[in-house]
Amino acid sequence: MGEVTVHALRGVDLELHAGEFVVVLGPSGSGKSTLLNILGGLDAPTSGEVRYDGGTISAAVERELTAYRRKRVGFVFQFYNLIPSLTALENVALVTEIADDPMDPLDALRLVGLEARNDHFPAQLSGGEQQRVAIARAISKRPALLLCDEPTGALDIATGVLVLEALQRTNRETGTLTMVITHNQAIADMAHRVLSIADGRIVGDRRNETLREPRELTW
Amino acid sequence: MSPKPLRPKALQRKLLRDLWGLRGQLLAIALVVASGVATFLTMRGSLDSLSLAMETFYEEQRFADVFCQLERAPKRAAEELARIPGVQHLETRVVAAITLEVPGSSAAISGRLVSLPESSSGLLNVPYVLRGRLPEPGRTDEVTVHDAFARAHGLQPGDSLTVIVNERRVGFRIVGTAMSPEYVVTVAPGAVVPDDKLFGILWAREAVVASSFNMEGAFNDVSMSVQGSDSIEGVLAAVDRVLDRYGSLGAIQRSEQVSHWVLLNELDGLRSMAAVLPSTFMAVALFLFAVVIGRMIRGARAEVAVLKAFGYSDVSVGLHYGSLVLTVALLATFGGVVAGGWMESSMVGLYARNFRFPDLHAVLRPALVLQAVCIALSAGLLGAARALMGVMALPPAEAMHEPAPLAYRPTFLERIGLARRLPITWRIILRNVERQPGRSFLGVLGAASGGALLLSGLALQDSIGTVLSLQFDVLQHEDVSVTLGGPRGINAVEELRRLPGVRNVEGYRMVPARIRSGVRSRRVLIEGLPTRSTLRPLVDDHGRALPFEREGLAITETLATALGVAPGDSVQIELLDGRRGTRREVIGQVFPSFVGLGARMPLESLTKWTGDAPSINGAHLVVDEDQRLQLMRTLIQLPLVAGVGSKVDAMRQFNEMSAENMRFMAFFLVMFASILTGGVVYNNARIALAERGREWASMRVLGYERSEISVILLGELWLLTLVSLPISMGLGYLLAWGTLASVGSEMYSLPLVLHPSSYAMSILVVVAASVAAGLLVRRRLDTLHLIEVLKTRA
Repeated sequence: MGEVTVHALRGVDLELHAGEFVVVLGPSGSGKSTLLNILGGLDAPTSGEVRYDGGTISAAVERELTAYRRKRVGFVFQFYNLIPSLTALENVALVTEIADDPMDPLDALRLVGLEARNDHFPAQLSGGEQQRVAIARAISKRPALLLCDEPTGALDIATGVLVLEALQRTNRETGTLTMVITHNQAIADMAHRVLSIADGRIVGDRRNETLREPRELTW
Repeated sequence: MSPKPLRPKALQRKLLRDLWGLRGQLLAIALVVASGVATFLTMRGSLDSLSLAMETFYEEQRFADVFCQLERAPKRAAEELARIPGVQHLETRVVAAITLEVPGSSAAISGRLVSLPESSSGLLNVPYVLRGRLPEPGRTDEVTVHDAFARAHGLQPGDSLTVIVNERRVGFRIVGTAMSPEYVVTVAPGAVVPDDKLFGILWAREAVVASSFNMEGAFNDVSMSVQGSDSIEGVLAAVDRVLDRYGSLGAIQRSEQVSHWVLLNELDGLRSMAAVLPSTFMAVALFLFAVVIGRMIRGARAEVAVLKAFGYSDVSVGLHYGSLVLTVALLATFGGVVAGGWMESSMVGLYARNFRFPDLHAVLRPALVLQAVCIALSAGLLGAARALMGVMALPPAEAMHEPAPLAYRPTFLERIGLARRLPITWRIILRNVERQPGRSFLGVLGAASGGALLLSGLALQDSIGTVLSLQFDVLQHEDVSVTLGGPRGINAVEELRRLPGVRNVEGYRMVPARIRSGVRSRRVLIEGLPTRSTLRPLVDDHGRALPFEREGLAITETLATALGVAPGDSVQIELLDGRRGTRREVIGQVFPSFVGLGARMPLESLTKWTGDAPSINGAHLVVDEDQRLQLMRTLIQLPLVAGVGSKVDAMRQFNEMSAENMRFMAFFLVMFASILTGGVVYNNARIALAERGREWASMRVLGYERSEISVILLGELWLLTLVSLPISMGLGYLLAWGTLASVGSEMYSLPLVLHPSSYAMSILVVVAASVAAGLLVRRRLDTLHLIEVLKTRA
């Protein structure tokens, strides 16, 4: 079979700043996940450059990318990806144990309102609770960049709101650059900045003059 | 009614894809199954080959059922023997100890000259001619020699040979080489190990042998075939009654005949190995099928749901996965049959060097192969049965759901407050091990099986080695042992002592006897030794010297058990060396011995009792090593000497014989152990990867290094391996004990010995196999799909 080159992203020129809450919107296959993967150090662009705080991630080798993820990036996955054999607290500690200047894991759980459930295993938590543990885990290392891929994708609306509140609170209290990828337009209303991606290109980059609180959102 | 599958071909293609996707794991299982099949076919095939060669040879050459040696009986005594009910054929012979001079060999060679009826090749124990022919009737200068002896010395028909018969040197011409059912294994009298260079069998016409030994019109050996096996006991008793007055050594049946006895022991050993080895493999295969197929089906619930929703019936879905199991088992069996065929022919080749059959070749009966196929298929189906039934019973709607998430809890160590400071990665490891205790336990047991198998195999070698070193270093202090032609006066000791190079001599007297206690009786050789014997001391299990009681009979533990007697009890002893006196004697001592049935008493008491003047029929010599060869040549030519053997030769011969067998065994044992342990560990690792790869990929995304993730995979595997080591050693010890108990008999028993080096070897192989299997899977951690886990559901 002949090789077919598919460009997931083309001509992306983007600058992101500390403290921003960014929502990336786009339909399936638009390239938004590729953008997140590249920013998170999971993937490398075939051409072009990604710079972070003076360094160049796009030229980094595997080991440097791991170190970048370990020190700088917090991830929140669509399906939480908690370690089932660890309690909520231990799932957070999983990250704080290898971070340079982490929070106390219990404090991180407190930020997402789950300190009382710290010794519960994932199987004993609801989906929303699991996602909040995942957020606590992601923020506990005090990342410079918090990347969330469809964090509410697997949740009902009420639970989704709780998760978004946790993200917003973290962003406000820690000043972490937070990027939420979603195809849920409603979430865009709580972001400082909204990027729209279609067909591998950034087709929109707007700032919200007024921010809505997560509990005001409906979808 | 369930609809007929619309496109069964689609399922077949899926089957092939599934097989390919699981190729590494299925290959590991296939290797285990193939090893099981191969060992089964090797052991059982060798057993068949040996049995077939033996039965054919015995039947065609008319191997006798009853044998008796005696001093001398007139030919007419044979007529009386022939009238014994049950006796079918009978043949009298003259069999005599000889000394041989072979051109080009300076060794002291002894042998046996066996008479052939004057004008035929005989009715019983007929030599099978391989090259040349039997001596012509009437020719006094022709002999046929045993093929093994001819080969050992490079002798051909046409070569000549000097035989010292009854103190006369007689030249013979070799006219042929032959084999005989009586001498499939040829052990010289008094020797422990067969040695074709130092002991040979020769056949000549009766007139020649009889005249050389002044046995005209007489015989000193008789063989009989018996009609119906029930009558054997009666025939034995009747023969004893008839030949009593002619100096009979007591009639024996086939199972007591040396060559056949050695052969029977080997067959017994093979039979027990054929049970142990393949069952170990099949048990492990069963476990592997259970975990791998179980895991595969758990991972394919959605697929099952779709298949069922599309109208595939429960049965066709079950058959689909069942046929995957059967395909693997069949492919493995095919490999096992090929490997087994090759291994069997190598093993039979090794047997052919020690067992002289004219036609010993590897046979593989189709029924045996079919049996192996059935065993392999059953192992597969039994192993996968639970998973297969589960998949058939799964309703389509339920199959669409994810299985309930596995609940974890803190481990026992954590619950009791220990291990609080355990690093997180180790908590993950321990909780995973503890969450599925059954699977972990079976995994440990599976990994242990390899080490256990290896250890039990090495135990056999250690035990044989120990017995021989005990025999050669502790029990036999002589350098040379001499068998005399018959009882000689005690002054023979002095005669031997005067020979150049002799430093010490101890004469002994061996007397065959039947010892009875109530209804139990055993036939043994009573050994009469000097009270202060330094060359043949009595020792305990640990090789420490035991005092030799002056009073009463000392018997081995095995004999004491067989007769149900203890020191202080009295037994009835019937001497079988011509005089056939009966008397009662008290058991003075019971001593441990691995040679099974045996008894000894002070030489003086024994000879006083036999009514002879103090006499010996053999002697143990301590000699100067640099004069040994010359001395042995001198000894063998002495009229009173019937045979000479040296410890050095016996040790050399044993080492030559066993070295290759041991290398062969060790090679396969190490290979099988690696397959078992490696196969189990590899599959455990692959299943861990399949079940928790997502977890590890998540950790990689969170910033964990590859090496840190590897700790979880390898840590868990190697922890289980570590736990498996003591279990492996314990199981190996038990397996060795069972194997030795099953190969042991009243004739000999092997002590269970395991050298530290064998433990070390087993541990090394288990560790190496598990490290290798772990590293093989660890490579896959490098290709964990990090991006995938962000998007997919657990």
